[in-house]
Amino acid sequence: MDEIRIFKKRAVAVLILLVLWAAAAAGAFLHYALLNREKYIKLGNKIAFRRGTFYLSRSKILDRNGIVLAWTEKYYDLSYLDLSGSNKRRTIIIDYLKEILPELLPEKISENIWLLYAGLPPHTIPKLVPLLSIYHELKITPRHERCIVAYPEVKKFIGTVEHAGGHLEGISGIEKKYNDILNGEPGEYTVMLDRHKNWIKGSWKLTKKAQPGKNVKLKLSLEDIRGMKNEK
Amino acid sequence: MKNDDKASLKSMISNSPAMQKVMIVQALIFVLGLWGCMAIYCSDVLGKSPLHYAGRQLLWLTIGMALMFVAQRIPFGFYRDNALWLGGIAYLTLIAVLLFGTRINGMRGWFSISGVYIQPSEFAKPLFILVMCKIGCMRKKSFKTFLLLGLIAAAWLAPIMLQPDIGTAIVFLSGFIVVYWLLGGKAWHLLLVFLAAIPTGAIILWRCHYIMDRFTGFLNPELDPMGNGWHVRQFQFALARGGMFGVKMDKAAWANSYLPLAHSDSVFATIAEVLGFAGTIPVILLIIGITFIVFKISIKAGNRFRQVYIMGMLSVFAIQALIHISVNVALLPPTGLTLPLLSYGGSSMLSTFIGFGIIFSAASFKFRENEETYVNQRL
Repeated sequence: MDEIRIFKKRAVAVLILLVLWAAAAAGAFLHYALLNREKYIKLGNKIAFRRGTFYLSRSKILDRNGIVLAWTEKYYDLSYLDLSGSNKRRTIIIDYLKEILPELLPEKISENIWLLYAGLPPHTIPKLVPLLSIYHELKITPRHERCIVAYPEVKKFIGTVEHAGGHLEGISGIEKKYNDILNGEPGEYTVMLDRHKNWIKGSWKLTKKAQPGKNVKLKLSLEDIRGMKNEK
Repeated sequence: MKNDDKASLKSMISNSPAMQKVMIVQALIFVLGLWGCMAIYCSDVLGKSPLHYAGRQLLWLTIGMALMFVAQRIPFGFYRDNALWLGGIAYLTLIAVLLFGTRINGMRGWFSISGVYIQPSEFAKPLFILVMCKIGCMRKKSFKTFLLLGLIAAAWLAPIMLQPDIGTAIVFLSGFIVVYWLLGGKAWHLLLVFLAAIPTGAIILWRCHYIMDRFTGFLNPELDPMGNGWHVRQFQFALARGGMFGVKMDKAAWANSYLPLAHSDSVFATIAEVLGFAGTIPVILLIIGITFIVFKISIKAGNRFRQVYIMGMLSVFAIQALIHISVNVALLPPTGLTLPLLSYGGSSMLSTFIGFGIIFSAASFKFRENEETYVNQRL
């Protein structure tokens, strides 16, 4: 009988301890979910959300007769961000990638970034995307490349562009003169990033539509431009 | 026995207060199980196949209920008489998993059989408590008994720590402390356990850097928010996003992207994000409700062995649940423990149901006694 009484007393003590523990947990829950909610939402959004701007593809430059002199092509590059500094891991990942991209030729472009493949063939991209969430070191990044007809005098006349925040910007010649017209108005977006700064699938949201640039039609023909050098 | 007698007996058993309590607990744990399936669905609702884990969990829930009824039907005398055999087998599986187990997330704690992963430490829990109760009840209350139980508990903890699964080891240690306390053990004996835990804990922190990192990340998540403090931070953000009534299921971004193992180790935070404070507090209330009703059952269980087993097993269930919840509300550092009945995982689900089945078998003493009295009277 005495044992039963002791058991009951001690079981009640255990029960009280568990209830107090549960109350403490409920209190902590209340702190985050209601009392200090705004503070933690702001902190969370700061870590998770990123705002960005983007331009639509830079428009074309045409001659008087409508011949395209400069245009933009979009490529996707595969790169490797060396997070761990482990050569073994990099070799394993590269060997695995070679099953999808047999002609992979890694090239070190900075201290911890390797360009694995420039201009991915479109059919390989869907095969590579699932690997990005497994190997956080891998990144597929879009790259715009400005192409100009293959005449040196035309190239000089049209000028050059440079990459600026994910888009192209004219820095000399016609490209610079009509930069704003060719670029159009930038769009804005928000996106959620994971711990490794990768975009979280399905989290990209457009907050402002981008306005496409306009094609620039020159008063000169291709021949005129080519002849400018000869005249000089 | 005549058919009329059988019917009357059955009616008497099902109408007995103990049986009614058992049936209420069965209903509550089934509700918790369904709640878990919903949470698991939410944790992957933005993924390619959100029903993948939730569907499997529903299957485990169904099998678990069936196993619980089977375990309940087996007379408690069987468990009592074979406790050491059953415990011995469970202990061997803990050793075997170190030798032949599969390593997942840095822990060698699973057997992989045809793509199904079995975690023996989960199934060992009810049997560990059974062994503790058996040995504790066989011997007189003395320091020798304490030492013996302590050594046995240490022997069980060792292979679990070697996996390493510190969270489960803490649950086993809590089981030993509660059982010894309920058996009437002296408080200063238990003080020795706490004193021994201090240097042991220090050695573990010194040897296992990841535990130290979790501690520092927990104590000051702002110091390294993208590293050690990441998990604690994400728990806080998920709870904050949930607020009072939660976010829409398809907006549960934290559960789907940020919470570590949202369907198992972070299932409470997942529910908090989707259902908010109002929809999550019932989980805590249900666990307290189950604890309270099973406590009432234990008081009426008849003898010490049954009482201590019921209360010991219940405490293991409640302590594991509270550790999980405390981790998810950033009250404790991350441990990697699942929330029994709610987190994804067949081993956790089935072992919890088996544990409750044995509790109900132990609770059935009273109405079996009634059954004997009743039959004798009729004859």
